[in-house]
Amino acid sequence: MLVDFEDNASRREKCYTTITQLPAFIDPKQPPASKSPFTAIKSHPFIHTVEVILPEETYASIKSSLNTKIKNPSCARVFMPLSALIEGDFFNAYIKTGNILMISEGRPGLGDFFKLHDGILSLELGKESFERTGLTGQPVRSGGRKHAKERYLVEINLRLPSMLHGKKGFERIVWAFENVLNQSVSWLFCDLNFDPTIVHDDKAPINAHHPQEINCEPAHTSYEDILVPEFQFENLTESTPQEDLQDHYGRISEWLAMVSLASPRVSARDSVDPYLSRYAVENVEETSISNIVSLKWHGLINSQWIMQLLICLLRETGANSPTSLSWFSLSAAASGRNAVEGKDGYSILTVAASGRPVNDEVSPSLPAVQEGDSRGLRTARKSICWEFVGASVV
Amino acid sequence: MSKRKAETTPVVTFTSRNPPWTYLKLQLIQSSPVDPLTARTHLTSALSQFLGLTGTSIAIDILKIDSQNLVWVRVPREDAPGVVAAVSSWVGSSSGSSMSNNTNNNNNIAWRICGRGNFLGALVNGSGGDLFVP
Repeated sequence: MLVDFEDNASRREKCYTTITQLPAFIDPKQPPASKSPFTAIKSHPFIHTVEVILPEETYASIKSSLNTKIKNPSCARVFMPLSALIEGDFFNAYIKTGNILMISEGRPGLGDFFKLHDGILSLELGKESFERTGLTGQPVRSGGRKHAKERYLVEINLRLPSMLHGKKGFERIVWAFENVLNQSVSWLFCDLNFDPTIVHDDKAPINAHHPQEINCEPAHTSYEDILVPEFQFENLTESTPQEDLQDHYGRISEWLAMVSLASPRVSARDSVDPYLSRYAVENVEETSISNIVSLKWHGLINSQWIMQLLICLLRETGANSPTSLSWFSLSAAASGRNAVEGKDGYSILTVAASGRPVNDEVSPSLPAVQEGDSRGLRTARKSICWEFVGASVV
Repeated sequence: MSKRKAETTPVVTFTSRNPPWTYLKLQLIQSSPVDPLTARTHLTSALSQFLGLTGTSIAIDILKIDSQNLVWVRVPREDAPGVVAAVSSWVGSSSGSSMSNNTNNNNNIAWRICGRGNFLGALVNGSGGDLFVP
């Protein structure tokens, strides 16, 4: 350490890594939602970017079925006050009976910030506006002074039977929305029950607020001659030192992010002076060179859609991949991150668990690998899931 | 059957708190596009101004520079607070003979810190704030 500065924010940053064996069969209607990596998808309801990175050959083989099976996510930008959420058709059609996802502009920890998920409206307010609303809430951490209560979270379950016009508790919310939180704000809106196959309904309650549709076509980028590191950790057992695992999987996560960044440093043709950068893909002898494709969706993306995408990718690559080198990664970036220890998103990497012949010393603790090996290489796959917490992004 | 079930899926989990690097997303505030060598010179200048000789010895890796003068760099995690302080307090001038014949309306340049984190994967796609801009 050259300079001795205190830095508290950096100390709260974390990355949770989970390495697990994927089940050979996944029911698209009932994904194993309590297992990694599916838990990561479930726990991030508001996602603004999803990126899939995979080798060009794999993409070529699954391209057509991906296009037919995965519809682009739909979402819209809309400008409306909070009170419009609990009025008439909007309230009945989207919150009481339907299911929508909404997130307001702004940053948690700064100003007023609202989101709606599963019928629960969360309002994160500064102390002054919280006290003026007269609603009940909990203090939340803002990253400022430690024991001062400066920010409050009000959570209202709008699906409760008591949440009806005319009821006393509900009228208090109406009053707060009409007299205190009465500014119109920008929202992102996503109707989870929206079916793109049905002809557009002009009478949808959202149309009263003149939504502006956001184009969620995937952005397609090809990268040529990329250095791909060896994903497998040799001799992974329960007794492997954790430092080694952290180091190895940290580098792979870094490499995935470098590809996502379109950094020239991961290209095989890069010849940068060490004065400018000393980044190197791990173990140059073990890297392979291949062409890589990235697909990036940008919009308000819900977790069900990501789940369908992951399952589709798993099924397609599992059935068609001719080689055991097949892999893909799916990364997602969260919006509306909490000011303190906010969830930033996750990356999921799927690799063939038995990429090379399994020798005896590897396996006592990994019987599943051998099992998969005897049945054929394609069934046994591992997933590595990184969940990021607490970075600061503008 | 139950025995087989117990054998499957050895799950390995761990938490990383102290990775070796910190990543910074910086923007150079100047009108002309920047090349890697100039970016590195401006970073060195900021570091030496704030930290002296010690500052110039901090290892900085330039990962990517894009058309909007966004510069992604990687520094050792322990040095990151120093780099952040040095870079954010620095105001330089785009010196050089080619620039001097410009009208001297604004030759000052500065760094802006757009993002900072110990895991690059959390930073690359930003915070999604651009979706709200019509």
